[in-house]
Amino acid sequence: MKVLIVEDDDEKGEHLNQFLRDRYINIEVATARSLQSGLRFITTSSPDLILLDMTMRNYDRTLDEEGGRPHAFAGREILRQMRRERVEIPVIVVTHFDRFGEDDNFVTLNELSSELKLRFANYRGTVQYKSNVDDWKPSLSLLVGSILKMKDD
Amino acid sequence: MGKNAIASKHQHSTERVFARARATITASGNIRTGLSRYKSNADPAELRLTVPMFATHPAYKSLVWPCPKPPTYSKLGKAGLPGYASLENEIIWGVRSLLSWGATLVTFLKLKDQADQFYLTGEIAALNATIFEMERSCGASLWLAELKIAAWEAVQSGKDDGSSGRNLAHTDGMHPLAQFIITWFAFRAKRNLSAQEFLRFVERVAPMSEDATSGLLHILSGLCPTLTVDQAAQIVSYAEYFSAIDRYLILRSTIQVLIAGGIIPDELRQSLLMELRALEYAVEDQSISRMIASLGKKLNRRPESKIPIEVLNSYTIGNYSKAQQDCDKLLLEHFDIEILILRQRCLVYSICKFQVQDFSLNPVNHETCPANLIAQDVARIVNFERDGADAISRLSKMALTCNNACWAASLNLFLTRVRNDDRIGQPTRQQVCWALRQSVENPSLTFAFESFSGAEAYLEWAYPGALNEVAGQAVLDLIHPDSPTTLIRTETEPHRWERLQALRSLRNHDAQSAIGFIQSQFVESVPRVIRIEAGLLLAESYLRSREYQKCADVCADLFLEAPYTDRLLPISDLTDRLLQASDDLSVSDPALLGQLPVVIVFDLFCRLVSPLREAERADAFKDFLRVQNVRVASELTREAVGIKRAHLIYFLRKICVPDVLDQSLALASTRSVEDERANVLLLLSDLTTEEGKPPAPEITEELRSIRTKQVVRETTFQLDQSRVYVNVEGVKRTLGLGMRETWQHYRLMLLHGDLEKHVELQKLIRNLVGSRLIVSVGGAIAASDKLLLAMLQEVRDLFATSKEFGLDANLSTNVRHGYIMRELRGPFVTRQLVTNKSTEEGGYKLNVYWLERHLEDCGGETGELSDALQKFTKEVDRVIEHLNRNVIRIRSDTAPEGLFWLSFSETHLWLMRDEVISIDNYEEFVELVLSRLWSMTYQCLDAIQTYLRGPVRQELNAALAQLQQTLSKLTPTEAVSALTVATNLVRPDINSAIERVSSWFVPTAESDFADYPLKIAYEAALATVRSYFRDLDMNPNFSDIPGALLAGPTLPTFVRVFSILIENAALHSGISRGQLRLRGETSCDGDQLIIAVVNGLDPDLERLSLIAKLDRVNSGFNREGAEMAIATEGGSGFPKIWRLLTHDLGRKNSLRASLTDTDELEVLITLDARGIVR
Repeated sequence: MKVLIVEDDDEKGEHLNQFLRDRYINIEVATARSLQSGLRFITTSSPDLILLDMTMRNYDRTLDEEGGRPHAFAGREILRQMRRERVEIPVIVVTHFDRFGEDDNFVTLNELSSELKLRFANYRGTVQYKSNVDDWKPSLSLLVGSILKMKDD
Repeated sequence: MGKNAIASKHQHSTERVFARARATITASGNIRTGLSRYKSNADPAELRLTVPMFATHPAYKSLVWPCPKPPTYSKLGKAGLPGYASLENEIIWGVRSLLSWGATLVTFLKLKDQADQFYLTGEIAALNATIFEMERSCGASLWLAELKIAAWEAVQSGKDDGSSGRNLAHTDGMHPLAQFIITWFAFRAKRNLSAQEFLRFVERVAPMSEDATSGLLHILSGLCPTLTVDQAAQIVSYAEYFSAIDRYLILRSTIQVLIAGGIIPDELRQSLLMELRALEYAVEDQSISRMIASLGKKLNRRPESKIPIEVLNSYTIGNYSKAQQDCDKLLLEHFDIEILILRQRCLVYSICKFQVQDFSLNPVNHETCPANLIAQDVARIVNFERDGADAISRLSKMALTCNNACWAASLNLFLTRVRNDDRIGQPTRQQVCWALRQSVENPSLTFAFESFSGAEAYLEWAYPGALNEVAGQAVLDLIHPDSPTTLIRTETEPHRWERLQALRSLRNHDAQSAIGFIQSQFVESVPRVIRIEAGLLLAESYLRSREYQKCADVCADLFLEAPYTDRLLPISDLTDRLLQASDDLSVSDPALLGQLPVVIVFDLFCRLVSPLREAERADAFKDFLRVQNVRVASELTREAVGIKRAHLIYFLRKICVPDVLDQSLALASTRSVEDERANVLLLLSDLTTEEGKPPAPEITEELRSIRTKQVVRETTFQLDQSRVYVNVEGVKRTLGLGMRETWQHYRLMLLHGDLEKHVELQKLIRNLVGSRLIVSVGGAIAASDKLLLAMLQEVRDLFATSKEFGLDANLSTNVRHGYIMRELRGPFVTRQLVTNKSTEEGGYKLNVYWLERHLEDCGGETGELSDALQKFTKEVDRVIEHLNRNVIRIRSDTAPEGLFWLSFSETHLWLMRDEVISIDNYEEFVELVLSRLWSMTYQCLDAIQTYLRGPVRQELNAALAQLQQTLSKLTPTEAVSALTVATNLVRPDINSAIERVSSWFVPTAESDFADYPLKIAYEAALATVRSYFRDLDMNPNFSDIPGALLAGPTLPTFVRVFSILIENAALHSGISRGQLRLRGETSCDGDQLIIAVVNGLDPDLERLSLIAKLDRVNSGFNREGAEMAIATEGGSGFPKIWRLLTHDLGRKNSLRASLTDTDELEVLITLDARGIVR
């Protein structure tokens, strides 16, 4: 199975990568670190599953690239673009946060999850990640398991 | 029975009813309560009889209505009866109470009309006299307060800024409700507050609630709220607090709102009509008659004020000049907004150019006369001028300020019809309400009343026989498809007839026919205003016929020809439907959104309506490029098929901007987005040149700005890669003759290496070298090694620790002088996660940002959170301080943890000895030693990078984890949640900061800087300092020597000099937030280059101690001062400037810091410019 992790926090990305490798055999993991590189990967490759961060910069950050604009809802934008291009790869949102945006755009994680569920058929659920607590692992495992099962069926 | 007998019988009967009612009230034990109950429980028919008697009876009248004519504002407002009755009983109670004040109200309405006229025409003296007369005859009132405030603000140019209105609101003794309302009037009239802002404010601060005061406030504020029958009853009941004229106006406005909202229950309708008729009979108010007519009832009394049908006929048949002349005559008699609008339209159609007309009765007030201002703005709107939107905004404010004047309603109706034409769609509630409040009758009001079946009755009342008039037929033709149209067909201009038919078709939901009628008018050859009006109708027709791309095309054309039309076009509806159509497709089709006009429409939506569709705008942008088969916009050819040139220019100029371009997958970095924007600007420039015009200045300015930004970024990046360096030439110079001689002797020792000559050789060495040589000669080989070691140590010492040229001095200037601290601390500061210390030795300040939020949320203890944040700050600073003070050091006894370990071991010695044997040239020897030192330095750089990516990253992440752990145990508040988000958001930022700092620890890049204007160095420095002081707004205000370029190799030095100066300004100006005035200036005086950096100072900054500091700085700007401070961090950094200019640049220089006459701090640097300024 080919999994794409779209994540700009290297430490979190590495944890997710490690988690997938530890738990599943024959898994191939690729990483993208921004909204644009995530979209580019999705449109040029065909992963079987996407683990998607929500808040990211426009471009991958490097020494001579600040990363461009920050997007509070980069993950949602990737899902929207996938729908626009009729790409139906299952997506699990994995986020540190329990709230997103500011002022008029502010939403809680629960509200955002409800919105994603309503708008995007390929959205399979959200896992709240914590760097110092491992309770995200069973949740993620459950969601990945259900996707694998559907794939097998 | 005779009339007198009947009247007498009726009177006896009324008296009996009144006596019975009194008995009931008296029986209740409390007259006030009894009256209130009676109002609620009495039969409406009985109330009609008894209320006038209660209202005039000495025992009851003060209870029924406490203060109908307040002698002063201190008596304005007094509570009436407790509670409220049904709407029907409240209206009867109110109307019948007012009847006894009929004469006063008649006087009031006449004076009110006079006052409005004086106000509009700028007759201040007459206006003041009328206000005085009204106060005398009608008493104080809310209405008069509103007029006074409006007069102060508008006619007297707002010189007192509404303070007089506020003073009125603070009148002692005035009822709080009256004070509250007058305060709102004063606030509403403030010049710097737009109508939109005020209405948003009302919605936010006093939204409609069940409490009737909000309804009362909304009505008096010019809104048409949605009322329930119960709320309306309460508002009518509240009206008895106020004077007769206020009570009348509140009652009238409330009924207008009820009619407009269509919420009058059938059972109330007849009763309401009866009351309106009674009121009309007593007060002779045309707006009451209009309400009755609009409710479908016939009236004998005809309107006194209306636009004469003859004038309307002239207008309709296209005799504009006659119509305009008639309007002018009418306006001089009585200034009515409806007639003014007709006049301005006549001018548009006849000559398409406006004549300025002075409506001011007093030439002194020509400029500020409201009538003139209104006339000018109406002209801007009907002529679709560029500033039409501003005109709408100004007129809306003017109408809002005088909301209770009839002319304000006329103006409001005109303004809303511009955007919502009730001839082709439903009028809004607010429009109907304003139509009911007009000052003058006008056939076009018919459209507002049609929704509640009052259209024909209204027209019959206001314009009997209209059926036989061309103007009447023009209205009826739209309402009734079967009405006769002979006159319209034969007498109106063809374009007007076609337009009427298009309107009629749209009204009858036949958009296709409408398109057929109107599209021939949307062509170049048709006069501008007619074409634009046709375009607006055509856009609506295409939208209704679901031809979205054609609709978009018309919208784009119209907007580009008359930008003001953006407010009038169906942009929101069109984008909604385009997106729906896109969603409905089973397969994605770029052709749907990928049309240039569609892209322009999405852009207009983002600019005018909401930024929420920026992503969809980018989608349309990308689809358009896909359809055009190009990768990026700059590849579009100007001959691209199917693209209108005007559309292309708008697209390139306004849509191909970084925020849209960065959504293209063809562009993978900020740099590529900038390059693409620059290419787009070049294409735009070519397009302009092709038209024989020079490129627009904003295009060349933007191009220059992009290039400057890129050079600055590249320069900053290159400088970051060259922070670690040694002035090798300086080191070589310092080694000088002594080292050269030592080298010669060392060579000699190697050549005469036999033991026999050892003693003689030793003598020779001692004589030549003397005590400078630290040699303990045990044998010939040991002696030469020791000599070699001494030479190596000497080079090493200069390389590592020379205060002028050495590595440590550069590390101090370029790395440790606050840069590490700010770079690594910066992300935490940005997210408010750390605080500063109050003083160098003191403790950390409380993190007020988060503590206050937490306190607001939970209202409880913040101690635990405060401790956690302080502990976090302390740990972050400990990690960074340790790195800065202990790790990025030349290792020595005083810095045992320093990772720059530059030391020659025995192994080094052996290796060097083997290599040196084959060298017979001193220069080669020095190069060899320096290259060994560089090799060691590179290893140290690797070690520092490893340290940063290892322990530093781990420790900072551990501190964050610890903070998050603590947060997870605290009461879960909004603030704690937001703080947790901040701790997560900061992680990638910190990683980036660590990577950035790591990137400094690389061998200095061989940079070949091009010659540059000094401004580049200033901006590069500013860019760096800005990133550390994000709360300060520092403008890149720099005046360069025109045409002068500095030698490329000097760029790093000048950037460093400016960095120190700008950073000093940011750190020591006393200004920590907001605007920091900053400017740089350069000039040449003979061979001298003069650089000045000037910054503003906080007014509270203690000047005496600053002057003392400046004295110290000035006197210490020399070699001694520099040597004392060069290896230490902190302070002004001026010694470092001395070293940079003296040693890195090799220039004689001077520096003087002083306070200017304008109380700014100026640092003036003068240096020898020969050879560096070209």
